Amino acid sequence: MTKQSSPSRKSWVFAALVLASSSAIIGGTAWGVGNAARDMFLFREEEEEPIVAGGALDRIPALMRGNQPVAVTSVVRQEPRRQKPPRMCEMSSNYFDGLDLERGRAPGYDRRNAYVRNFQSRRGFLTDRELKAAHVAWRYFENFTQENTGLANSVGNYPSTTLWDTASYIAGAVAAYELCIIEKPDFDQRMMRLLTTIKGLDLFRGEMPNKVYHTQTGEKVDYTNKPGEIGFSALDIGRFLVWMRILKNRYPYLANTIDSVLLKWDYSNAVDEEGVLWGAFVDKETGETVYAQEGRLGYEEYAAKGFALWGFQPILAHRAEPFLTASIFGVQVPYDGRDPRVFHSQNYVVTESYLQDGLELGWDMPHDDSSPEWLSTDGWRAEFADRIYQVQENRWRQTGFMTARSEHNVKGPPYFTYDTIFSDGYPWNTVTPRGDYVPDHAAVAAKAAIGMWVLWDTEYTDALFDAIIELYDPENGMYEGLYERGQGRVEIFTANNNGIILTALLHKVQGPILTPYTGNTEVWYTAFRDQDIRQKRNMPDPPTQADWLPAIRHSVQKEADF
Amino acid sequence: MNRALSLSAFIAALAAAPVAVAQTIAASGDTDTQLSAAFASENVILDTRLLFADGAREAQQNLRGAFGWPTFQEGLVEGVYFRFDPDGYARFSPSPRLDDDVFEVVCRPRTYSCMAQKGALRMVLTDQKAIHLMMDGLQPTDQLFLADTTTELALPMRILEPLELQFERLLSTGGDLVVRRGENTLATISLKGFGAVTAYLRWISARQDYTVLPTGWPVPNARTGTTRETLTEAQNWVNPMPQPLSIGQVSQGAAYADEDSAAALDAMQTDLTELRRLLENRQNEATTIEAAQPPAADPVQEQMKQMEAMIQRLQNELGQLSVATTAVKLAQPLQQPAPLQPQPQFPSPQANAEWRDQVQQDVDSTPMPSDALPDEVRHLQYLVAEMGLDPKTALVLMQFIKPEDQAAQSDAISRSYHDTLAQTILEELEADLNASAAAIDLERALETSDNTKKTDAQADTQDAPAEDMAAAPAAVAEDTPAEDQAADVVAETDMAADDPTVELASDTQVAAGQSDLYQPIGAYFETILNPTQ
Repeated sequence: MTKQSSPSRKSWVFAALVLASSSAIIGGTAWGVGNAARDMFLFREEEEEPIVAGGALDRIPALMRGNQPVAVTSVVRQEPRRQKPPRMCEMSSNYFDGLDLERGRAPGYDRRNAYVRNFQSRRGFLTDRELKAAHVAWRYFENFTQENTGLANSVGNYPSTTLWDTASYIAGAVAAYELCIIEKPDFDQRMMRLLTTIKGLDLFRGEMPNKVYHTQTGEKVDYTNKPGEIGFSALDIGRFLVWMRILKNRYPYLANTIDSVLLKWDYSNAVDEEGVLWGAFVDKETGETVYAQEGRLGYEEYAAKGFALWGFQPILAHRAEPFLTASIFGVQVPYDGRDPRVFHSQNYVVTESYLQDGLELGWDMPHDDSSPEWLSTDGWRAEFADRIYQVQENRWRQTGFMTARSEHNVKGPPYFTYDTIFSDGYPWNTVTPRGDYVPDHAAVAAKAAIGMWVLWDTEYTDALFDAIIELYDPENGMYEGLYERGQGRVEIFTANNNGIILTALLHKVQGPILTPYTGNTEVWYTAFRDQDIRQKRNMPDPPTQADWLPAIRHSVQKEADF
Repeated sequence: MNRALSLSAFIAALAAAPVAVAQTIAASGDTDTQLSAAFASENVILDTRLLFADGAREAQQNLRGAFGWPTFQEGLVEGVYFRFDPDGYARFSPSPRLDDDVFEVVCRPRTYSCMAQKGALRMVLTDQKAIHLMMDGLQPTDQLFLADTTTELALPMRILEPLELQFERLLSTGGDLVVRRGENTLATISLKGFGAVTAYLRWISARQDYTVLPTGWPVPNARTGTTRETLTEAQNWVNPMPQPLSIGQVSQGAAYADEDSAAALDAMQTDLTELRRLLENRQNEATTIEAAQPPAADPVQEQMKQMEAMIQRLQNELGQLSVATTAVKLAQPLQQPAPLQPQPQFPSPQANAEWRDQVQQDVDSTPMPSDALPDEVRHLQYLVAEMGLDPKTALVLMQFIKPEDQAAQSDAISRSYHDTLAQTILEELEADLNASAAAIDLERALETSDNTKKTDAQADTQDAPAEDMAAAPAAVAEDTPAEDQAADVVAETDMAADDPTVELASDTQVAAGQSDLYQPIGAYFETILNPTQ
């Protein structure tokens, strides 16, 4: 019997060999290609973007972040930075001939949502009438600044003040110096005394400055000027921050003092992660601190820009939304859309916050230090400001009432009124802080009239100017205003009114008051880097381009809406 | 009248003093002083957390500056919106903007003395918590009217004296106060908010005590509510047809009368109790005295005269109570027109409880057998003591119990519980006097009674003429004999009776049961309520 090999058995062996060899070849090829590709890609990436110290890929430790340069338009876009103008008495007689004051393009938004206004500002030297008014306005601060604290009274002899009004005092002092009403020794002495007092102020529960301080003692007080604490106001602090930045940028020798003042404060409850501004008050029942969103359309954005000038990111506070419009004399007047019945905070539409934004910041974004004067990079703010102006001119033309409305003090009860363009659903509503309608207190506010005269060069503001510019007491300052119903002058003198009037006159000579920062590293950003204080107090890092507040545009009213 | 006007001018000048001071300060230009005075913490007289009326709320003031009041209170009550500050400054207006038809209240710094003003009309609260209206520039020949859209009611110049309760209730019903000089109308002042402002003035004066607010006032957290359980009750029916009568309807009308009537009632009960005690003592001792001394004719007659005078004063007081009761009933229809939805309204619980305790004490201390009293009195006693109703409510309720008996009803109005009680004692007293010949102890007892009466007479100055009020509180503090003050009341009553414009004038006349005096105003109300007649 013989043994024979089977043909089927040979076929299986052959197939197995083929399969094994094919798998080996494919696997080897894939492995080789993969390795080659990985090596190639990794090699190329490392070659193109190496991590450079301080570069975008460099995750800089906190200790070193303070040294980062602040991203401003002159740095990012390589545009020429604006220059600080000289004092008026140091200007050449042809100073204004060389300025770029003419509009470079038609009114409207540009591709970056900057806005070219329909109106132009007044620029030039002060006339004798204007200079006289400036001297008189400064008289207020000469009379009512407390010698021992350097704080100026908010209202006449009454020895109390807020940060808002203290900012007005700083505005007055800057204007007085730049308009050559006072000289540098006087200015420096005033500012240094003021700043050292502010640095030593007892804060509200260790956080932020109290709403009100006694100007003679520097004590924190309540609304009756008795020792106590009320809370803090994000709006007041925002305005104060604007003027701290103006002071620091214009006078670098004050920078360290200013930084030390602001480094003492705790910002952790003033600005949240969403960019909302919060004020604080004391609960009467429990005595605990209550934090509440603060600010409505107009004031809120102005204060937000003050925080942004110091590196904070109040993104939500800077946005106009939610807002609505009310058609008044053909103008769609914007007002805050938050319902007062729900939020228990009124939405006053007045001129003041738009004026201050225009005079002090040129309606520019906080990171803008290079745009021409005729271009407002915070476009919607300028466009809304034009509406606020236009509706007041329209009222004058259609009713004869000279109109320049703002919040203002009055002599006697109720002592303070919101003389609004629109509030509580009513146009031209003059109300007290608790909401009573008091039309007899409607007035042409001096600060609003002079501010509008500077920022809107029109026939109407000429009329306003003539009505107000001689409305003063040579010994005490400019009066608060002129009653609309013929009761004469509003015979009270305030820091805010005289400070804004001086700011407006300075704007005529120098343009927007905020000038670029010319230094490099700031103590404000470098201090406390070796501790956790910055994190605890929510102190910001130097803003990068990614931190810039967004420039927004809103629909533009093309024609009158009656 | 001239005296009244000069008095008004005096009080007006007094009330205007702080305003003048404020103006002087303002004129001096001293802003420091002005602001310090305006917002000093010592000026805080009200806690804005304590709500003036149900539905009000405390709110934060939108302060931008360095001074002001941080809070205020706002709300809606009796058809008017209001806001007030911690210093008492308030505005009342039918408009939610508080801009039109405004009652403005200003308080003197550091005091609870406040003045309300609307146009030429000003009003303050006297020391006796009565409302005092003032108007500048009025002449004796000027006339005052209360007008609504269709009719006018002549008002006496006495409303410019401390307001009697019936006038206050009348003015609280609204309408316009019209001032005429001959054919010319000098002023037309809306009275919208009058009731709310008077309540506010009293509330301030009482340091925000809710017990001084009128019955039916929507006191916070005291709302009886129209819950599901009470929805089917008769007084909650919403129906334009005539409503079932309810206690709430009746008691609302008696709101303002409660306090003063209760005080007068207390005084009267004290007097009656004292008289009863004297009679009992004298009965016990009469025999002994008679045996010891012969009757002295002249002293007894003199003392009888004194007793009669005292009885006369008691009748006057009863008359005042009757006036209050009747006026309240008359004023009630203006406040609640027919189709209104009635709400159960009672005095504030605390005041009611205190008052019930007092009444119960008085009833207990009056030794009168129940079977000896007339039916009406026993019913009244039951309603007051057992049911806890105030006497006027109980009285009116009794009248409504027997509507079919019109004659008995009118008789019940004129013969109140107090009349009956006093009449009973009077008869006993006269009988005892006729039978008695001795008076030595009685004379001593009468002296005691007079002393008691002095206190009552001082309390009566609230209803006294304005001349007496002018000297208040100094005059009240003086130890004026009760007889003199009572004489003043009678004199004023006589003067008012001579005045043809005085239609609600005399307490004494009403006490004597002359209900015809009320006919004009009654007809007026009938006209308002039933215009088709």
